[in-house]
Amino acid sequence: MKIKFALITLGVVLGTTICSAQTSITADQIMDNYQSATAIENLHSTLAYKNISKKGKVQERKLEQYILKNENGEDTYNFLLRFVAPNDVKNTATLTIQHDEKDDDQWLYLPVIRSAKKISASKKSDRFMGTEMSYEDLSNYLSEPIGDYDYELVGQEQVLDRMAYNIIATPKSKTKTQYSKRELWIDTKTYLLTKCEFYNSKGKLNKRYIAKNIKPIKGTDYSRAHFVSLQNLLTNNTTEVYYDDFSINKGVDKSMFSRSYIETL
Amino acid sequence: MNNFYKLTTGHPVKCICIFLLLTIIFSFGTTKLETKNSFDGELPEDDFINIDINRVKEVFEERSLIMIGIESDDLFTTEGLSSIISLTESVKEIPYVFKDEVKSLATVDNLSERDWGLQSNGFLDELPDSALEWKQLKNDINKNDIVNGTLISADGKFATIVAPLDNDFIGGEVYAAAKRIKENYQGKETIHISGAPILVEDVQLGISKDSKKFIGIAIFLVFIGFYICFRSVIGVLFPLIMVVASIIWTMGMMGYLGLNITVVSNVLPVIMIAVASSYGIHFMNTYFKLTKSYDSQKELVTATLDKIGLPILITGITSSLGSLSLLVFNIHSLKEFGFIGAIGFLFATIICLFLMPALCMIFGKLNASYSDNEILKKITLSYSVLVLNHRKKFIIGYLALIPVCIWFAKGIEVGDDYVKFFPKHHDGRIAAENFNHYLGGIRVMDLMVDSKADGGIKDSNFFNQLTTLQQSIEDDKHVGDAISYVDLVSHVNNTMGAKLKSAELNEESIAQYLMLHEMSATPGEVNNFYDETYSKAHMQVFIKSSNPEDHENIQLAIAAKADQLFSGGVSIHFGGDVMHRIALGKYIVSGKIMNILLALFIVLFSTSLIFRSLKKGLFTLTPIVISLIMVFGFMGITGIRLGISTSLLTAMIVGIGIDFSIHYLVSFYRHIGEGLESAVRKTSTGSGQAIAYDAMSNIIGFSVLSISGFLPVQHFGWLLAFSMLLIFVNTLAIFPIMFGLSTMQNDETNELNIEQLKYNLS
Repeated sequence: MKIKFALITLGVVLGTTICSAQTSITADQIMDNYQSATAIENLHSTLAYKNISKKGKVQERKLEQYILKNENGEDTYNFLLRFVAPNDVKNTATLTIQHDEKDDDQWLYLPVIRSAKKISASKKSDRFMGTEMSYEDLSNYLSEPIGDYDYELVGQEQVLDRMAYNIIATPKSKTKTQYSKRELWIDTKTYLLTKCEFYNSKGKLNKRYIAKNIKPIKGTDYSRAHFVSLQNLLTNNTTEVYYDDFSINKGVDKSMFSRSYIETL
Repeated sequence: MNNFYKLTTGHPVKCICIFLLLTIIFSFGTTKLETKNSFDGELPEDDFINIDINRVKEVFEERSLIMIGIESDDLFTTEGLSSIISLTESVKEIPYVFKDEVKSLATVDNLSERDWGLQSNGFLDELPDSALEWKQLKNDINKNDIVNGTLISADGKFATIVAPLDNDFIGGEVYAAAKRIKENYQGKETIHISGAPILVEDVQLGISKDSKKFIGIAIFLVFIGFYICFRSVIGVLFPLIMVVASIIWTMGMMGYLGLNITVVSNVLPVIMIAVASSYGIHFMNTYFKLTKSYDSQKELVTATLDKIGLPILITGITSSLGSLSLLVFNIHSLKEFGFIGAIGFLFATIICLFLMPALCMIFGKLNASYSDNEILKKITLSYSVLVLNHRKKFIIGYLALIPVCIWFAKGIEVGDDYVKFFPKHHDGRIAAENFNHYLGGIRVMDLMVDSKADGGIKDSNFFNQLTTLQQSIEDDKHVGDAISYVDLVSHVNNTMGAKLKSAELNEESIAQYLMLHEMSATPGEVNNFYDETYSKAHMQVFIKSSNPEDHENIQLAIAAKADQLFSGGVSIHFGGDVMHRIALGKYIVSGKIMNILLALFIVLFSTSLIFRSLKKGLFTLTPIVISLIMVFGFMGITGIRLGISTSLLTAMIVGIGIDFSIHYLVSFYRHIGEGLESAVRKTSTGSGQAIAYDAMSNIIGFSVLSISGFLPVQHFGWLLAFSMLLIFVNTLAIFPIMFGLSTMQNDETNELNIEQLKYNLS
């Protein structure tokens, strides 16, 4: 009887301690952790994306991505995307140099033209490379703009097989965004985004992001989702991305992010 | 037969109670009826055009297009472009619209060359605010074939928002939402709504509205015609009850059988009135003529049944069999109509033979007050005598007229020209005319060119051949525009500064240009041009003409050119609404010929059997055949097209013709023993008069439809009235002419033994 009482007491004490530890974390702290988990200096990976139409028609491409943090702003990056398959579009590339204070610089290189063309800067709401991902989504994944949003922790939920903090991100009045609200689910272990729902300016649920297959990246403290899907609930089109061969903060050649470099591809 | 007479005359109250009970049961059936205002599924699954349509649909979806037009003196103003933007957003909210595939100046990517590189934004992402920017925008549009003349007219006065619909769209919902948009935005700019789904709804709603209005008046006038004939209330009421009940029974049966009300079965009440009312007229005509000859109501009704019951039964059965001849059509709604029409005529016969005697037993009076219409009587008699006395002249007249009618009948145009259905000032017609005037047109033919190899559309030979094909299609005077991936590749080629000649484009350049498009387009937009494996190309051909014959000529020309251009197993498939209509047209023609032949055979077979004489069967057929030839000649002369609704009308001629012929012949054979002239005179004042009443009341009633603004309703009225007149005139002329020929005149077998006829029928 004494043993039983002791076990119950221990259970209550432990439970209270765990709960108080979990509830003591704030939304801002979670978002800080999230930002830290995603913040990188440079990254290289291969990826295959599928654009799936509402009627199930599929377009598939394979690319290499190179990302390097630049000095044009607090959280600005250079991106180089190079197509590797199919063969007839191999070495087609896009280069983006982000800026804080002015429009991004973008170049497109088509091997048949044999020269890179500067292309007009994309709007935040523009679709990235024909996928369901917008330029704004892409920026947010690389670095959550914490100063532009108010975050509210509404609880914890299981997302697929992982526990996640459920947070509502509401844009501040001066924030320029296509969304009226985002609902984020941040993994309690890796602090990576496992699910996100985007509400458009009319308050309608517009897109749903799901990240799966979160694995640690060899030789680093980082983890990354190796499969991501983004479904547009208004059009029923979906983009699925399969990542592989992540290399984070292992160094990317700065000279790759230049017009002259992509013209040599 | 005598037992049947005893049943109806001996138990009239029971008969009426059973009739009421059945009418209530069938009334419930009418509540189960559903309306299906679509031609989808009209064609048989194994039809080769349908198979081709489905092949295209399988790869590129059906993508029926609705088009919202915006017309203004100048759309190149801030207000004009803002209207295009907000209209585009509203169109995305229309049910069944593929939101990500809505095309307008506000959604299409503007890939244009600049001094500093490539502009790749939406045309209207930022509205111009300087003269230079306006100039730049206009210049970009002028250089872009995918936009210029397709989404906005060259003069900037008309723009469109084009929205593809999901396969299972419901026309009524789409139409209502588009109408709301039109009402909300109508103001400084004029808004037009069009495209095949809108056109179909507009036509059907217009016809349905006009039909309800005019058919109501027509029915009223038909019964006024009855009153003019009989000058008796029961002479109007009894046939009216009979016809209305026949319609309720038939529609109720449709409900119980799960058959829908279609564009075709919509006309069932009218056809029931035209055909079934004659049963009632013949019954009442005989009843009134005998009313002074009998001392008791029972004897009078029995005598009426004895005299007219059998011809009504024969006409009911043959009309029913004639209606079944519509089963030869390969169009579902016409087949269904043939089946339900057959049931309807049988119901009308049953109701006439059970209800009319019962009603006369209870509500009829001996020596009932009625009077013949003396004018009509005189006309009928004078006409019959005239024919009898001038047989040779009439024969020469017929021999001269028939070849002329056949010659004109050859010129009948087939299929329905939807745009011409509308009255000139109808919104639907104005919209269609504006789209045709400013842009490429509203009718769309889909082409799928299958290279039969993965990545085959990137092959430069294939690309060049398709370019040539597209150019030849665009040269057709009825084609407003043709759009395919050829335009995408050409535009990117011009913009990227490479400006390679078409022949210099290789697989890599085509692939990379296409990928550039994919980087800014939605998957749906991409799939509108080619399939996932790059083996099949999709071309949308916008046609300005709405004439099905022009559509067929375009299709034949494309097929011939493709045969000449492509080799190595490349195949071409046709789809879209336009092809559906072409197929319907083909079936209407082949089905019509088969239907008429079968209906005539059925009439010949059944009347030969009933009269136990092939010669008499052929006699019955003659006025029907001549009337048919004349009606087709009339259609050829007046330009009335052979479409779905007019097909039904010509089928109806057989039904009415049988009716008139049998009543005339039964009466004629009864009196032939008294000599030809006496038989003609007695028949023309007996059955002939009832035929005249029937024809006159229907002519009076249905002529009113000819003042409708909608061509199908108008043609329906003209044809119905004209057919009635022709069958009447021919029945009264052909038989005296034929019997007047000496060989027939002396044929004693012509005399009819009514008991033998009853035996034959049994």
